[in-house]
Amino acid sequence: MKSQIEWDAQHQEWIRLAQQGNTEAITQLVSTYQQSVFNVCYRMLGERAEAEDAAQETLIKAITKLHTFNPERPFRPWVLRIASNECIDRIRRRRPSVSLDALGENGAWEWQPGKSPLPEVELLRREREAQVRSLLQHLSPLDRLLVSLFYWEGLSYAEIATVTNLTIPAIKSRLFRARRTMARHLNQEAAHA
Amino acid sequence: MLDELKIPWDEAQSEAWWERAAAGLLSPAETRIWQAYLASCDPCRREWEALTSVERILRTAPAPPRVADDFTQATLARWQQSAARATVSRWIGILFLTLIIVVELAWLGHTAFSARHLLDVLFAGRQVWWEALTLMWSSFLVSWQALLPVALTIALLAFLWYMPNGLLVTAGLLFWTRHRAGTR
Repeated sequence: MKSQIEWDAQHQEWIRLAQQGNTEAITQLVSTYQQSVFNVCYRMLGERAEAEDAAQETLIKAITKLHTFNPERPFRPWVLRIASNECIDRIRRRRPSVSLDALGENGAWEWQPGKSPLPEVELLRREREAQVRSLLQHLSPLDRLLVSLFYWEGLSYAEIATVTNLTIPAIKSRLFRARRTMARHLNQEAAHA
Repeated sequence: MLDELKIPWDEAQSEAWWERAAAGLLSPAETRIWQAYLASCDPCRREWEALTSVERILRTAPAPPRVADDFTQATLARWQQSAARATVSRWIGILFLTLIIVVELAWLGHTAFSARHLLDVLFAGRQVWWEALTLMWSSFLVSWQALLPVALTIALLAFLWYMPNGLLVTAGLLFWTRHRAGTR
């Protein structure tokens, strides 16, 4: 198993080679960051197909603009910044629509044999996923991004500041307000239920 | 109870307190104050409980699905396609600009009738430049090519560069007219 220092050195080397157009290094960078980029896009856009498309677009932009990247700075916030811009643009351009990804013919989710070990487990996972999506949809694109980076990508406040261009106190404050907004909606949903 | 603890209501319900409480940054004494505040305010307690639930929901949210197995290859293929398209577009752009420059130089050469005279025309002949630019401008207006905005900008910049006297006269006339109107 490689140590962190070895991994960092290897990573720097990939970036250096990728900046010179080395396809193998570019492939390594893409495969290292694709899941992270997809996760952010998925949380922000809420749809798998669109998130995959946005993630690919992000990675292509990153490869194309790689010569502008300063190798002394961390790569992940840089690529996530491109992802966030891409997703925010897509949300702005988006027209109201209903996702049909998870729906069966009669409009309900259908379990498919072979795709999940247990239908109960999958159903529970989908319910929790739907709850998260429902809470996130009450937030602005920027707040959605902050929540996603903080809770699921595990970025530090300083790294989030690099991605979003916000100050650390502003990030903390926005994150708290986002949580409070979601809490109010949770209360309203409970009251309606 | 809040009164007994001498806590100002406004301070306890301020966002700063909520933020510090949510981040677990209250001292033991402040925690007691906070609990007393929540006990005295039903809506605040409900909101606090919802806030705690949100925190739990976010912390235990299921991970997004994994990307498809061929995601890397698909991304690289898409990148190569877009790079190829960009290269073609760049070359088309260069070709068009070269064409414009060649046509303009040819026109200047034709107008000047001789190669020797062409140099004079290029560096000093405002009149010939102006004719060539006007012709180019009007021909683009007629043909309405894709590069029309670029050509018009170049022509306009050249016009501004080569016709300062005309502009100065126009600006002077405008100034004089307004000045006269103002003094009446």
